[in-house]
Amino acid sequence: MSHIRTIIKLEDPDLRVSKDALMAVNTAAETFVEQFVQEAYTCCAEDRKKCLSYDHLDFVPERVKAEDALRERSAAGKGG
Amino acid sequence: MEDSIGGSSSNDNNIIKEQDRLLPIANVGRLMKQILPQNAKISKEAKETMQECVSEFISFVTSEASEKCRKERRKTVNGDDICWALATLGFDDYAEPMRRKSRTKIQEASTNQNDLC
Repeated sequence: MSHIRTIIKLEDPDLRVSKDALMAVNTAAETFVEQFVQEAYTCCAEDRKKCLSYDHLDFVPERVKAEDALRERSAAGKGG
Repeated sequence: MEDSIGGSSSNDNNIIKEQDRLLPIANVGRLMKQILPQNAKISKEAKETMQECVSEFISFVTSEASEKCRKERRKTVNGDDICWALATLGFDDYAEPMRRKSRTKIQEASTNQNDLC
């Protein structure tokens, strides 16, 4: 759990994180990886390849700050 | 419960080491392997990309939960805040897999081998 705590502390050093929050983040991260890899492997299977490579993960958006992503998301919601 | 994180071995604490910012590649790779068929191979590049993505995901979710705590004048983030953040950010479909995993984790609390961290 220490690695997850480190990542969280890098985001906000003053933030205190309970053990159940760490567990929740850990479980969510595992779920994220699982769903991501399943989708990537589907792309991979369509390419008839047995090796999962960077190109199959290339539907990843560019790194954006959380607040920017949320701003875009709410703007899109209002526009729709 | 709220212990401080271990300091970096670097002399300058302002310099964040790459491995501190990311989850261990071996753990990420192991988790990826579990999902894929046995004959599937994963390139190093794919593991590194996944490593970046999952760390970004953690920061993304945490910053949302942290913002909620800040608004409510609370200093400690708890599990409910994380679940709320996931739902707010559009990861509502994670709720059921998370519940299943939590049950499994409670059952095998003694073995932490499958944990990402």
